[in-house]
Amino acid sequence: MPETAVRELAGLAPFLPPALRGLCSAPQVLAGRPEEIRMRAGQPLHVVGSQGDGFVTADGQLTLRPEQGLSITAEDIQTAFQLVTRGSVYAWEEELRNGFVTLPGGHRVGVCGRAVVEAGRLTTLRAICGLNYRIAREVPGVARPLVPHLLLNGDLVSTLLVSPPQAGKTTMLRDLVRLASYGAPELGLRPSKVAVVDERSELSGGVGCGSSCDLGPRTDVLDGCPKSTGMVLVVRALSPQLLAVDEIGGEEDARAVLAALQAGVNVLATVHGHDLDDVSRRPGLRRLLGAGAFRRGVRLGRSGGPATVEQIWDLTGGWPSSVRSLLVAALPTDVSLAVSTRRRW
Amino acid sequence: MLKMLGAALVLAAGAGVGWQLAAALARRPQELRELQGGLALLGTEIRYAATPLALALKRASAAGPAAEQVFGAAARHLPLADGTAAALEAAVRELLVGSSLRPGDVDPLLALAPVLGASDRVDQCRHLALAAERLSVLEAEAQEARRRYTGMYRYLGLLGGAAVALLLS
Repeated sequence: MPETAVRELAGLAPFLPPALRGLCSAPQVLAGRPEEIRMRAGQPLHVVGSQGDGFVTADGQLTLRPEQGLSITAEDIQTAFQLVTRGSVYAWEEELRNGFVTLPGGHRVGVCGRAVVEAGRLTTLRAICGLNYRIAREVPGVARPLVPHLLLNGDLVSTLLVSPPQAGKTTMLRDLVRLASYGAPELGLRPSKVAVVDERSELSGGVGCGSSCDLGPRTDVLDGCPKSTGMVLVVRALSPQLLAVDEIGGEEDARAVLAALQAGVNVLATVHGHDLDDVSRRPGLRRLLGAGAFRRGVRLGRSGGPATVEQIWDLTGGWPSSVRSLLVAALPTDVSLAVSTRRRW
Repeated sequence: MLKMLGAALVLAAGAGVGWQLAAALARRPQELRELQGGLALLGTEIRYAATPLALALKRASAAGPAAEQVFGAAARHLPLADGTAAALEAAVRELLVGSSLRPGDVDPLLALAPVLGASDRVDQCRHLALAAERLSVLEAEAQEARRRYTGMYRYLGLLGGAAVALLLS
């Protein structure tokens, strides 16, 4: 049974309904290295792992047949929701508006129910009928093979990590932050002061003061703050050398990233997408790429497991005039080489 | 001499019982006021600070001994109880044992138990305001009962004690 899976589940267990804790940590479930535990009222307990997915039976076995899985009741969902919100739904209003609650350790619980909309704006979710526990995974060292390709004079250059959901963006970013904060002389990386703007507490796994993930001794975490506001704030207040932010996307985010770059701070950011084509369809990101905000782009995927580096773009020459892929021999999986240049974004 | 002493003791006991009953009547509105104060503090913590319930209950317990008995106890029960409602209900049961409140006085708190912490801030504040309003009505009744019956209980105790002493002598 993988020891790390046991540890991860132990962190999540207090937020699972007591009746399901044993099942979720059954040996066969853990052996599949679960990444998501999904509960839907009236449906079987569903576990998604790195190797595939399955339904958990009443005796803790995994099956592909839904009818054999243990059926989740509305009461199970209510109990779980109470545990996840620590009996204080009102304290998670903003998070619920975004559809999830972050737990200690950076685990994220996606919430599904009946939306309450006022004046066209989602105010909250009621009648919760589905929960998706996404297990946060710290993988110390996962960014090591990538670091040499992001270095300039001993510092990490501004880099955009691109991947679809669940491909390891946050895991990779967290490890890059940790490495930058500790420094890695063997890789030629100097220690830096790092500021993390962690709007959803995913990077730091923070609850209250402090983070439950190791982000290094030179890292400041601004937790729960909207990204665009937070980036401006940390640049002004914390004088970081490196700024890390997860899942940028909007115009406001783009403006804040540019402001940070103009202040001489390198930015590590992640964004949802399959590649730069995808990313550049969003106006804010197109503006960032057009302005040459990032020196490197990295595409992550799951071809060799989560957080597999599949492609690295050299964006040094600006965008869109030159886009080159780098040969990354040291990386564990094949990395595509040639990318066409000169596109209209 | 012994008879006189016995009669004095009986008289004192009767008066004591009367004073006790009167004191309980006098404490009841005070305790109901403290509970309202606790609800107001709870509402402030929820509305303006979105303080997690365990901490909000702990802070609400500063409103007085009765508030400490119910909100403080609920905060302590919360990690062990089977949900928020169970924690508050257990605390209310304890409150009834150690206070001058009548069973009907805690109905607003029992009605609050299933919804406490289970909705957004606006909704929580509505429920808290409703509970406080119901407590306020009960407090007005308790004040009236105090005004009308405090003196009566004292005199009844004293006179009852005197009557028993006379009958025994």
